Amino acid sequence: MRDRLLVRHFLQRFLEHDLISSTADRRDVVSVVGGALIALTLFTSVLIAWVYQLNPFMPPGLTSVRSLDDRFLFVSVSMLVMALLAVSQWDALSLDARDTAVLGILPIPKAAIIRAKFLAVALLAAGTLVACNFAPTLFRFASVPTGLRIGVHASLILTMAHALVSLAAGVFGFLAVYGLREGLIAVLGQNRFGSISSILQSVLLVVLTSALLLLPGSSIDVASRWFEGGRRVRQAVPQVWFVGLHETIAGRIIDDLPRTQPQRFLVVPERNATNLYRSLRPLYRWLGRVATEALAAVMLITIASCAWNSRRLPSAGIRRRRRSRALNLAARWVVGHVVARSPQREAGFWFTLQTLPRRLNHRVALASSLAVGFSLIVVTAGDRMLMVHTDAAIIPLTILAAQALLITSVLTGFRHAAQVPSELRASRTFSLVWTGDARSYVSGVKRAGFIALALPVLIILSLWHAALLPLRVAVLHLGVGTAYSIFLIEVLFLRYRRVPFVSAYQPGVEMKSHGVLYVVLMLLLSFALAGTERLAFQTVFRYVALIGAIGGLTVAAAAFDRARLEVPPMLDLEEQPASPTQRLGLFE
Amino acid sequence: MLEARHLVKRFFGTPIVNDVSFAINSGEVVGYLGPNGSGKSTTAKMLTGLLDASDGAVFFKKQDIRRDPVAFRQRLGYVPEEPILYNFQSGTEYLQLVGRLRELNSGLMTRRIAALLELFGLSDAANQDIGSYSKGMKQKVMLIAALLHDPDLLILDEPDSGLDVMSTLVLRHLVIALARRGKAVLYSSHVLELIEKTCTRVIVIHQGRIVADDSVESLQRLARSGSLEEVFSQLVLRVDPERTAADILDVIAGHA
Repeated sequence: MRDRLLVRHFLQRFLEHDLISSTADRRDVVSVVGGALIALTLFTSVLIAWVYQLNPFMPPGLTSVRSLDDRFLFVSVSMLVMALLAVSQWDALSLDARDTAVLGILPIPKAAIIRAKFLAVALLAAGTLVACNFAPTLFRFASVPTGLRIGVHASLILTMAHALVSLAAGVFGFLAVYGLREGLIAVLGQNRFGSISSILQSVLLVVLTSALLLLPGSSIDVASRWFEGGRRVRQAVPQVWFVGLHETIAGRIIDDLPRTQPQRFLVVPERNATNLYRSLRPLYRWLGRVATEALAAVMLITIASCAWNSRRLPSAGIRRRRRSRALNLAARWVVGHVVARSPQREAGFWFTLQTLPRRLNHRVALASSLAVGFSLIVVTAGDRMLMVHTDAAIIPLTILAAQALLITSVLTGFRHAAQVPSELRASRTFSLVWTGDARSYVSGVKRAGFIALALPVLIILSLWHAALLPLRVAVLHLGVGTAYSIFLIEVLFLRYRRVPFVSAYQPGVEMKSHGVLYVVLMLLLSFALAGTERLAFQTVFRYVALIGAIGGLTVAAAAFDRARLEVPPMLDLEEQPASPTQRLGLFE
Repeated sequence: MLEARHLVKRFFGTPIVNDVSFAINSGEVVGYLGPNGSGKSTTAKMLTGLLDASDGAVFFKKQDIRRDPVAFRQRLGYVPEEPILYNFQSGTEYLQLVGRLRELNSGLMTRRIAALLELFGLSDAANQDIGSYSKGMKQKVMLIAALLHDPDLLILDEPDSGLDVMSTLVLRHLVIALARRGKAVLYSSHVLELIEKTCTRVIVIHQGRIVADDSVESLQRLARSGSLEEVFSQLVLRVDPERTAADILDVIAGHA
């Protein structure tokens, strides 16, 4: 009874999350998130099964090669969703000082608390794993062309193999993150880990979200993209190991079917597909072994680290912000004398820089926008991302558009992050000292967004551009990017009448309909700018005209905003923040 | 300097503060006493302008604070009952934020923050996250934030909550010294001894209404023993504390 209560307590604590509004109904959140996961995987499974049902006479070789794409997709979804789950619950994966304070004083053995915590983590992972893999497993039998008569027994083996491998991949994804976290705590200690924890979490979030967004594209033609030609680097991707494991277990069921004469136009593709699939059989076995060993290794590391870290209940750590005094003074001087030359502006600047990396909500917004931007670049530029282009007149637009795409995406994420209060209850600090003039404060916020987000993105992209493009073009492109970033920040904060990071959250546009529209608009705008840039790089006059035009638009936007400042910005601390389900508008 | 005129605050039609009027002059420390839920903090919030009164008004230097709330806030220092701060900031970062929002000169602000952190014994923890502070440390940060701009009016809502003995003594002397410099102070607390030794006048509030407003000496004369504790008991306590303690003991022991 006591153990069950403890497990329930820890399960409820997973919902006490920065990303979940404190006013939201916890059951609603669970049902909406679980329902969305099941609905998405169900939709994908039916869509994939439909393709096989529409091609009932697809021969075995082509079916085997094609089904590699499906296995890669489902294995990746399972692995990435589970890894993202572990990243989103990063701080809740182990006991913390609050648990010690609340439960440590009760007459409960330490072992019972620790056991309950691990059981709660395992239940959370198991629940998500089932929600994620239920529909694809259920519909696995339908992803075989009806023309291939494989029988009930073989269907059952295919289903079992799919379930086993997808679940193993999911467990691997979850434990890889969990084990990494616990392993680092064991090696570095809680305090040192605390100083890198949020950075690591953000990096994982960007990498995993990017991988998830790129998944539809990367799941096409898996055999030649990921397996063929001894591409060891690509085979280092964990999803590939688990696809190999699946083919080792159940690949022969389709491949060993007797070959009949296919339709004439399929004869050559079928022969090639059969040869390709069979040539990869040794690789499948090797990859399957790697998958098994990797899974065992992450399990071992996670269990050992957790056992080591659970020697005692955690106590409250003291987090000092270590910074060189000289560097600190220099940064404050530069900001105070160059970047933000009024106290209010400085307040906005520094508060933004403190909030963005330290609050999970804000980190998630930025990481997601970075992942969206990066994915769009990969999708649009493809292999051209690594090609050198010496002629300025024929540089692919996709390479030039990358800058605007990433900047637009990141600054849109920044604009969204600014709408979310750092800590709504603590916003009272502002009510007590607020002078009512938000212009300087918002200006400081905008400058922080430019310096902390746009500038690093521009610098990293310019290094990439310098490697691919003529140096002159790379420098000119950086200039346009800088002007565009300043312009975009002005536009994004146009008619913004709240206090960034302070006012209560108010949902803006509806994400489910406007999100796609926004991405389309972003693509159009980025490519239009890239086309204009390519023309402008040809003469100095055109380039100066382009920069002047962007500068003029920026000044016009700022002037328009000032003219409409008759409505003063509001603190709105009395409003309750909207629940996350309302934010997604899933109930409408 | 500050005048509350017929303040009323109703929540869902129920008056929490009912027709509260008083004034605080320069150089005066007014104690604000009352049991839990009597309306002390609600009054304090209305006095700061954080909460709109359902009826009545607050005047600062004879001017309604709603006419120029910014000017009022520039002269106000407020320590709320609960120290809610940005936990992800360090003590220094929080105070710098407050100083900048108050548009203090950068050099002056830096010097004041460093000196006040040192005097309040927080300099070692100045760069720690506020999330790791004890309640008393958070309270000290709130006190520094309230004093940073040298306000004319201080509203202190249980400022001694969580403070250690030494800090409480410092606070007591500080409040008296501030009053000597012409500041007006409203000091809300449960510690009767502290109110007795610090304040020149005491207002007692019970169930949203003022039940006493007089100098400490006058109130003490009302009680036979001459202690403020007895005055308080006579005015607001409807139960015998000793009897209640005995009843609690019975419940714990399982006799009741």
